[in-house]
Amino acid sequence: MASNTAPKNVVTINQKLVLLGDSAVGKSSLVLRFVKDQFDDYRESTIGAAFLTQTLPIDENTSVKLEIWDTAGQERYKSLAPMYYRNANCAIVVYDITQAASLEKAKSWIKELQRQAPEGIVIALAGNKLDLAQERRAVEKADAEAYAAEANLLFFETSAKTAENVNELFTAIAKKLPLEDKLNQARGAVNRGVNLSEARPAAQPSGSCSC
Amino acid sequence: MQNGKRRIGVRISSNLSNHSGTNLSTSAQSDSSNIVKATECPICGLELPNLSALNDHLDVTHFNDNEKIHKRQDSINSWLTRTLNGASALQMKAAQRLWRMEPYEQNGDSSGAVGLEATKLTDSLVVKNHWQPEVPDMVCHDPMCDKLLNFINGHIHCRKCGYIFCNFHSMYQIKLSIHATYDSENGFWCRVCRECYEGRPGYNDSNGLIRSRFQTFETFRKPLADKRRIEFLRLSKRMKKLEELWTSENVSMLDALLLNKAKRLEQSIVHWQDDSVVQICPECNNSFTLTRRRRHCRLCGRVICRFCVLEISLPQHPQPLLICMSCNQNYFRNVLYQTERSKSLGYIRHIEHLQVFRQAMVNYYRLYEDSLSELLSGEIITEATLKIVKDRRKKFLELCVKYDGTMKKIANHPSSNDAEEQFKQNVVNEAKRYLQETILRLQAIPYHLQVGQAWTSESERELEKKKEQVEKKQEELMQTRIVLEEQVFLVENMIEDAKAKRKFSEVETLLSSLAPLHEEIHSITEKIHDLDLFDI
Repeated sequence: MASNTAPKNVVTINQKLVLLGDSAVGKSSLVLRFVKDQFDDYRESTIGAAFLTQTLPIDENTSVKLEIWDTAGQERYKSLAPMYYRNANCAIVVYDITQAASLEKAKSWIKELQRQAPEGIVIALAGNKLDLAQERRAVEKADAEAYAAEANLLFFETSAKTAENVNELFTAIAKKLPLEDKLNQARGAVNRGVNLSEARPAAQPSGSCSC
Repeated sequence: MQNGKRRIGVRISSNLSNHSGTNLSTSAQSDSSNIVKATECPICGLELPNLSALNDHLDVTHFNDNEKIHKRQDSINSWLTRTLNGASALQMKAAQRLWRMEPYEQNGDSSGAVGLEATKLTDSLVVKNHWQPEVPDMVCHDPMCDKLLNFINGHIHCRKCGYIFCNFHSMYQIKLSIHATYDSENGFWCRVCRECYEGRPGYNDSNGLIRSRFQTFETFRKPLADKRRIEFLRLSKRMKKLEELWTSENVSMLDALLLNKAKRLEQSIVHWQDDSVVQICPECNNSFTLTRRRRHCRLCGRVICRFCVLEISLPQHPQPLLICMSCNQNYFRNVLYQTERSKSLGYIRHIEHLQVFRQAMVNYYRLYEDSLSELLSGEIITEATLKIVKDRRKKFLELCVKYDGTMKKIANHPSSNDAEEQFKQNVVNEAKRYLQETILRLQAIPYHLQVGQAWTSESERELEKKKEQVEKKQEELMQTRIVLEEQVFLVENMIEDAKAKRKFSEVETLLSSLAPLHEEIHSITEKIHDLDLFDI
């Protein structure tokens, strides 16, 4: 965060992240843990899609500002998800390790993403509620991991309650993002200083669509 | 002594503050003679020798009056509660009666069965295909009942709605036709649920049955009304003659001075009753005397006393005209009524128009319905038949427009007072209600009706199916649109929030996220619109 105070050296790249998954798997809790490092035992279900941001340093000179769209998992809001994954750079599909059905739902989301979302989107599969693994695990880690490997996804088992693997998950996504092009673009703009003809790309480094 | 009296007086006045007509307090302050006079108990009217006696009397006799009144009120209250409880228990009793199979009401005389047994006999007559299928572990369909349906609690189909209820919640009987619809005249007594029992037409109708007795009244009233009308006509004829009496050519104003001549003239219109025949005035039943002189009514010629005569001045007459009370009633009141009536208010005409339009609308509606159903049931649709239907529909709609216009005219007519305003309002409201009802009921000509196409039940079913699909799709789209609109609202709130927190980079992102939402809403709206068009 200290690097933020010296903006000349650090390039911040905006990236859009969307969370998908069945209802009550803990999407909002994951985001809350990641953004505010809080946990709420009795969280109300999300309405529509919530928006949060968090900046994540990757190395000394680069940080990624994640614009997180936390969509509601309820069936009613199904039509809302395409609005957000259509131009997303990365997606986290969450399932609940205590609910086998939620993994099926997650798989269907992944299929939909692979079909509809822009090419090159980074998808992560997250099995949430790891804190309940001892008593109520319904999905074996190996099964989910195998599926993730097969579909070329990042895979983590997380717990929003204990914060286990939450930051790792987001950091891994940020690291996997194809940032080179944008980085070069942004760096170039910064290095050349004031250049009116190329001011536009510099002003919008996020250019939210990477495809 | 003086002090004591004043005290008593004041006390009485405070005791009797509710009773009017006493001036005890003032009299106590004035002199003692007045006090003595006023020692009559204002409650029971008992005469008492002096104030102290009255005071004692009030203390002893009337002290408990208030309590007595309270007691009586209490007893009335308890009576009311008792009666109410009894009334609410009545329903239970009725239900129990039904359950004990006591004679309730029977379906026909031949059956011989009673109570619920009787309803069982009708089972074969009333249709059952709407009955809810039985599955194990069902509970009573009554929303307030959670009894399991089994042998003990019973499982009875309501014959009307077809849902299954427990014994207790199906203990009602109404008459149903064989199509399981309510038919109070020719139906059979059937066992139904409470909802069907209370939902039948007329159950909550506090007005009861309305039976017009106007016909009877009219026949009863007709002879009298006719007689009155004839009398009125006769009198008005005479009146006309009387008016013209002094204006005709062969009569000069000079004749008016000659009493005989005037009398003869007036007698030429109606025969005057002979004085000697009448001994008492027919109006007031007093016998004639020197002061109570005989007079002749100029309209009917009867003899009446001078106190029962009205003097009416006519413009052309030298003297006022004498008219008896009954002629006044029969003629002048009637004239007044007629003139008032003919002075019709501007919008009354419109109200009459409304009625005419309404009648025509009813007729055309029926014609349209008939021709449409004929068209749908017929084999081949020809240009001519289709045209007839279309024409009738058009005509009906034109009538509706006229009706609406007239209604607005009435509403815009200025009214002179509140009652009139109220009346007009009522008329307009009723007209509006009628118009809405009819328009809503109006069936559209099916869009797929085409010349030369045979109308079969199959194609109907197909279309029905298609329509259902379209409706479902539409419903889904609507739902999606609502979700999207909600999201727009949420995002707008987020933008406000971000602005307030001065997070302008977030504002930018959020703003850009609004655009696809709006686009999507737009495209969905268009889709819904397209489906609407398809529907038409």
